[in-house]
Amino acid sequence: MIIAVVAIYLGLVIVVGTLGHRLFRNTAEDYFVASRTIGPVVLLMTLLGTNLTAFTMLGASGEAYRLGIIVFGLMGASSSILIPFLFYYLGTKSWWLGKRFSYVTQIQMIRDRYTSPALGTLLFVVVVLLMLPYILIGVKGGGDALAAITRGEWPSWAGSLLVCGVTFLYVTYGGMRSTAWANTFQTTVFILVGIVAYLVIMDHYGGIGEAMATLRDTHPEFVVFGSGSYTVFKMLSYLLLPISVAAFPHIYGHWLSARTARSFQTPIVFYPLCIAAVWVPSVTLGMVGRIDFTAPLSGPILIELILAHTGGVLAGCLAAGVFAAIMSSLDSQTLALGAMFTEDIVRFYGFDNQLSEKQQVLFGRLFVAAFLVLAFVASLFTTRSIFELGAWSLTGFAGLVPIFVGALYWKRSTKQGATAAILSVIGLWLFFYADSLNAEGAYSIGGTGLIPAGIIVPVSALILILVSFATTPPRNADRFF
Amino acid sequence: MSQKTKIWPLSILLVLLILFFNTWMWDNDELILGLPINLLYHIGLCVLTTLSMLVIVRLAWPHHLDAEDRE
Repeated sequence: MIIAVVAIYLGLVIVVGTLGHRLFRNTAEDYFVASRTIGPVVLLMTLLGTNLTAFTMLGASGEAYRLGIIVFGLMGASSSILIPFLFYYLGTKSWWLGKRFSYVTQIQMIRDRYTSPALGTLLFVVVVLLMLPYILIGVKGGGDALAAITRGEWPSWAGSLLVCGVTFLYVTYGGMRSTAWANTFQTTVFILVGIVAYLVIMDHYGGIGEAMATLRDTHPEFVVFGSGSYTVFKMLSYLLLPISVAAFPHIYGHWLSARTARSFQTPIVFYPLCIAAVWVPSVTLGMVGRIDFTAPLSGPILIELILAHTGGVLAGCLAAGVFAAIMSSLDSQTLALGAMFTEDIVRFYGFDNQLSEKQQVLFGRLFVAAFLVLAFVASLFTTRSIFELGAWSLTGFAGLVPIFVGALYWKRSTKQGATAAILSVIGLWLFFYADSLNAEGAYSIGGTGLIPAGIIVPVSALILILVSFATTPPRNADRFF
Repeated sequence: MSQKTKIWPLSILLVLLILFFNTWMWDNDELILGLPINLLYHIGLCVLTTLSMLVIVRLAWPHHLDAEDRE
């Protein structure tokens, strides 16, 4: 039954995704940013789907199982407050520049803004290195989730292969339009699956009120945030992780695909409500899992709950929901990398910006296919430790955000300032990562609750400012303001 | 582009961030409508953010970005 539901779901994704190809114009702009024609509702759903990963369904409930209600504040509420402002300030301005100068990648914008090919290439290398573990987490996570739901009946590699195979079909075929349409479908599926799972499982516990009252009696620490400087530092520094969205190349690609600046209004207004709709079921279910399940668990808590309290159809729907969450990010990520390798490396260095539209589309497809094959092969040799790299990937992207803010809103920022800021991110990231290995992977500086992003982001901003003031103001920056 | 995106929405962001740190109730284990009070508070904050963004897109929308597109 589980496999039948998953097969039906994947079939529908392929149908929706390939429908996008009917409007395909066979140009690079169409393949990478859908000729900038995406309307407000699809933009909301595709941004949401791209941003939410398997972590939101399985990881967040797992963290809530471990830490309790604070997980919603740390990761859900913080995202819902900050991300709409990022869309408002950085999304609309990026869209305007993309439309004006025909950009399809963020590297093109940075190269132009600072008139520095070398700076663009440095940023390219950093962004690609940060993206790779992020992609791998999705591919590996899909396989592990299917193996857990089927109790090992299906091996992990089969789930990873399905995720990569289906994504390959519609992304290479239809590019951004297919990706946006498939994401809209998939985002709807995983929101609905989360809500249905919530209703069914809570019903088993006599409703949310009964479940929380039981939990308060057995695990009182789970229904409070807990006071003290540790919590304050933790809440403060976790605010810096959601800003990483502004430096993601796959989010940038979706920004550029908008039809008008006004298309951003719907995502800006409704994003916080969508976040609540996704995170509240995930976090509360994770917490409720504490009532019947004691650590260590044999699999993700959400899967344990569903297998224990529901039938095969809902388990199949959960598998479909996990695949939806993974593929709606994986498609955008591989498309963004395909765009970057095609436009920022092959076209820029190999062909002196002279490459026909059809050749650009061909290169884009080849790179998307290559990344999916690479991700699948790498997932076969990856251990679960790769999941720990997820937070580190976000940390690196968060550190890059001051460079984009400077490029878009601070005319006085210079290429030397931006370069120094990127180098500071690289240096501090490596330092804190090496330090965490000595502290057995702890993602907190000295046990204070302060996470590395709490240092890396302000230092990156400070270095951008100081070095920019110390160097000659850029020329010809007016056209960006 | 002579006009600029408005800065005053950042003051709303600041207020939302201050409200985010509801330290006075972090140890409160009360349940309201069946939900822990801190969870309910943060859900309310999501709703408040939506209302705030509605005000911002109405009163501070960067119309100049689309205006150039129509030219």
